[in-house]
Amino acid sequence: MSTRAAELAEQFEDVAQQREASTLGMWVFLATEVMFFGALFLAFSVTRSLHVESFSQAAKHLDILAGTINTAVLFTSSFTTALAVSALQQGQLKRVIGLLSVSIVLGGLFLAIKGHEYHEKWVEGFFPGNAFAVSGPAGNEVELFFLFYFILTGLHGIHLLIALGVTAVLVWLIVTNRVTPTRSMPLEASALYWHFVDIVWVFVFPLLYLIGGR
Amino acid sequence: MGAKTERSFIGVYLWLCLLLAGTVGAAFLHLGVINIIIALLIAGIQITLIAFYFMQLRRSNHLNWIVAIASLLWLSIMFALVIGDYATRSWTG
Repeated sequence: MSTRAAELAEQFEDVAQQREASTLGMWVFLATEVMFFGALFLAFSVTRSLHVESFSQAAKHLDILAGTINTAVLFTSSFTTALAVSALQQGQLKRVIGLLSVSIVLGGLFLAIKGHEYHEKWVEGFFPGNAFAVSGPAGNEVELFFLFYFILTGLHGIHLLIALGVTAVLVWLIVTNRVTPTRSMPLEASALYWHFVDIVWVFVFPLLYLIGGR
Repeated sequence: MGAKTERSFIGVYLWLCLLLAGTVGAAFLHLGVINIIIALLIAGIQITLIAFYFMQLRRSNHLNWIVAIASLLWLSIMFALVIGDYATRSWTG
């Protein structure tokens, strides 16, 4: 069997069609993810419009510096991931491994900063449930805000964790020569997912951290 | 993809960081509802940059465009119906 035949699954006419099918499949999956996060953003927007004042006050408890750094970290990781796809298509395998490793480290850094923020919020008594320690008339509404905060950032964090795992597997597949410059769709698809996780954060960050004003 | 594409990635990355600085800076101005509009507008520009360049939508098969636009279309229907409901609940005849 020639290399070219091995790179083409039998249901496809040619390599171009195989690549189109792979990318289209990933976009369709991402469309379902848009609906998944969209519903949460909608619920947040409606709830916020009902409790504007207390949601703005609650948002001021978030660490804007940590949020800003984390946004920059994610942008950088998307940048290195985009470069990695380009490098793979040009056959620069060592560079691909290096760039993907940087993405993984940056993803880990994002989660570490997020974990630090979670810890702070827990200690300060903002974690919803028994540990929640805000009293006063607006206490319930602040708790509602932090419920949204932990659900939105938590689901985003799980998505990032999955992206980290998938990218680590991709590094392994490239090292073992199963993802190659001519068979690069697996990396292209996982890169799309990584960028999507970035896009979700682009909305999570202003909605939670910024729009209440500072 | 080659050197030209990679240069465009650098440009997009710098724009993303610049817009981030802009949106964080705007949060410290007290403009009321305009704060929300600025934040969402900047987020919209950022996701457009990410989708068109990093996700290669601009060179992508048009079928992918249909999927991307359809997801936004359905999302906007969901937002329009629900927000339309909540925004008009206090209306009386």
